[in-house]
Amino acid sequence: MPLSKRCEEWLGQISLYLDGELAEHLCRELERHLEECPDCHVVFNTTRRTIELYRQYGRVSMPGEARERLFRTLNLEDLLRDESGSG
Amino acid sequence: MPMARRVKGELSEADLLDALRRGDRQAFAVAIDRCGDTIYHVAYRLLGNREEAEDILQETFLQAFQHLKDFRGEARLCTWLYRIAYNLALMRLRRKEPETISIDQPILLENDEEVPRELFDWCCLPEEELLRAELRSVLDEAIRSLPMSLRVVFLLRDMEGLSTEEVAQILGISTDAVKTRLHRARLQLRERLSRYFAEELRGR
Ligand SMILES: [Zn+2]
Repeated sequence: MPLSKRCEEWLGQISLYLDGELAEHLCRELERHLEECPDCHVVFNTTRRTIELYRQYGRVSMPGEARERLFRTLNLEDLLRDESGSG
Repeated sequence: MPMARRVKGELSEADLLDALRRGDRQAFAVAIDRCGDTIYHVAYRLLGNREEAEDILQETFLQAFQHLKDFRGEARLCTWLYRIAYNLALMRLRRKEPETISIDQPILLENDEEVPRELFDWCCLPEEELLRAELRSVLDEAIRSLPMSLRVVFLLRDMEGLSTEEVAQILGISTDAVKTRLHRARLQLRERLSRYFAEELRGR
């Protein structure tokens, strides 16, 4: 069963809500809708969880060897040891 | 006076810039450690492989350090570097697949992906359940399937935690466009993950 137009409209606001950019009175209304509407509740929770998972597991940082080669390219190899943490 | 000691995160933006402009080599190293991860991440998510991501990483710093004069401090140093990296990655992509890259054009609505359909509730399953489902490769595949214009906004805003304004500066688009694209990216990713988890975990 597809979501109602009204639900779609509410779901259109969830990103603003999550980012703290939705007007106060709309927040209250959205919260009320989420309490009453199981479908929107699921979409909201799984959206929030999607973001959390990516934040937690999706990041990629420059590999140690890539950092090292970069330092060499820029003639900074004498500073390589200085990296904070791995002394 | 050269920086006696390089402590990540301690140096203020203004001091770092001064030091860079003086040609202080320690400052270059600080800039790499402060901004390098995100540069690499952006390049990796746009180009899809580690070799080219590293190329972009190198090109970005080479170009930036040669053109420090052009940086007038109207943005954070990292923001400026991300913008350079993004443009370099984009140029490379255009060379590789000239017909498929359309970052500036409106994206065709794949409405199908943006009206939530899969309502399996996996939000609160224990993490081990999700991890068992090869979470990382699922996440990678889902983000790779996003149109580039949405992908880059999601990764800068949600994964790297940059502000809407910063992302708008980096991509050269309006803050409203950033918000719209972010929302669409989130819904598309949610849909893909939901379909996947529904298939893998429903009924357990
Ligand atoms: Zn609803």
